[in-house]
Amino acid sequence: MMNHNLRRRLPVIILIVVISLFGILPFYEMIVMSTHTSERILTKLPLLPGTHGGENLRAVLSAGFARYFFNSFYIAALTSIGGALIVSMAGYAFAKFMFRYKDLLFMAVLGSVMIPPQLSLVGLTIEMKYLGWMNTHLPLIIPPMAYAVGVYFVRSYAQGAIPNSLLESARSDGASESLIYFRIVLPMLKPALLTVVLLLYIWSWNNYIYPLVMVNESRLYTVPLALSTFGGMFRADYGGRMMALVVGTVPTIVLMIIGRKHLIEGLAGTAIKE
Amino acid sequence: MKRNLARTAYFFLIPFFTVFIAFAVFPMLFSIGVSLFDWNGISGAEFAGFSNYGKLFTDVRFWNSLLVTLAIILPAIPLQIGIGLLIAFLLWDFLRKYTSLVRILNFLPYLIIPFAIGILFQYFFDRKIGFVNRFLLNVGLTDEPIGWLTHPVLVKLVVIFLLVWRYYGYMAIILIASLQTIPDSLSEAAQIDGASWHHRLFHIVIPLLRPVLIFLSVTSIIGGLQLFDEPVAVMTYSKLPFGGIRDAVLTLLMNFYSISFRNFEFGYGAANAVIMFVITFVLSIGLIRTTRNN
Repeated sequence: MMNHNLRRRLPVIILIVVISLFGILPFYEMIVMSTHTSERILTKLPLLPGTHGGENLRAVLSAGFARYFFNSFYIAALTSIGGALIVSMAGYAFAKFMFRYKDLLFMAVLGSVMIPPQLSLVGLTIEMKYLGWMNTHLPLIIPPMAYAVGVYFVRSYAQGAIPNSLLESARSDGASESLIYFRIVLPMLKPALLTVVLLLYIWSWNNYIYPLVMVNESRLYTVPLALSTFGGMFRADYGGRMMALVVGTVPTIVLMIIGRKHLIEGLAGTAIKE
Repeated sequence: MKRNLARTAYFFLIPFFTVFIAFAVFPMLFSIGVSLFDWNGISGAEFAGFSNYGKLFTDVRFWNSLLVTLAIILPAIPLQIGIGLLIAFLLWDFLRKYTSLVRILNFLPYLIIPFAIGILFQYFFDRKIGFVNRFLLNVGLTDEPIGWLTHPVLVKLVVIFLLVWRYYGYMAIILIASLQTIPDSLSEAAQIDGASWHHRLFHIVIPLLRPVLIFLSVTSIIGGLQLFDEPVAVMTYSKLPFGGIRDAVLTLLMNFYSISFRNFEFGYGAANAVIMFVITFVLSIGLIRTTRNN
């Protein structure tokens, strides 16, 4: 029985291992190459980690990468936390209140998901110029907070997670609406909020075209923008270049793996529900 | 005491809608308006009527960028979804215990900065130093290095390969999550019936996943029409022109970017964006319609 089972499963296991290797290998090689000298990388593709990692890391840090990393980090943190807060308020309002134009407003939010972001990019750039926000981090922090998918996600979550009776009894106890929101609703929405935070964080961290258009002073660069100019900084230093990729990507990946439950729920939740 | 709950609701909506209207709706309408002008964003704008749109229809570069984008995403999307479906089905059908481990491993590429992936693949496929060529030379499959990034077809294959690699794990995750909503009794019944694996795949799993597969196709097309970071990164590091040799990987969004933010033709760029939106809209609606009718 056991044998039969194994024989049936073996080809499947091999296939899955091969596909998974295909997925991991470039990533693994990126990390391995970041620990070697350029000469070593250019003579033969290294398969095991080397000892030059510290050296490469120093080169990356002396090129000012710590600043870019900090820029990306604080921008992504502010966007995701601020976005989760305003998105949760809107999602809660759509889930638990009756008001005029509710359906119309919700359709507007949902419909905006279908619109490619570049449609607003020219207008947004000119708007930022008039506001004096060009060459600041504000266009990278504030506009992405209006995360329409997040409103949809929080609304669906709140409909299932927050019983009306709880809100009513809190109201009859005389609790104010803001107290109800901060003390009762927000804690109950925590899983959905974490999902929104993670989705916005990874979007912000990975985003390239917004900073490319809005920022041109190098001290304001984010990680992807800094990577795009490293061609000049690390013209021949492949080890350093790979280390820059590792430093720019691995911490976020670790964060996402820790929060994978909420991340996957968010990605899958928006796809399955409709 | 009767509370005005509608007023409370509006109060909760204000922060989101302030940002939404100021930085999503307004710039969108503004862009549409700008598309009717000739404007570089600094000196005075001149009303141009629909001339920017007229110019677009005879702009060879625009139509080329549409074809390039389709030539990249039309092969890439079925492959991404196909490999994702294969993994999801195999895990669900044979190896349910290992689902979470395999899921995370295959999901890693999706989390990496797209620009970083472009740099990585540029290195792999570089003509002189790339290990793909070194490997092919060593094994003797080719006598001289292949110009992966300079050949108009091969460079598209590199970008397709990159996209498949980046997204198949994301597809698998979503498909596994929706397979987990299928009641076990259904799959067990099929197993007891002695249905073969391909019967289970084509007659149980795919029909059940249909709505999700349609959702993934439509969102992939919308996302694919915005392809930008990866081809830009591949080209930046290969020191080739922005869109590759003879615009081989100049996508719609790259073309839009170069018009709007390199040449500062805001009016013409905005017209490009409007037509890109129309194309996206028509394609997604068309896809949803045809898949519903069948």
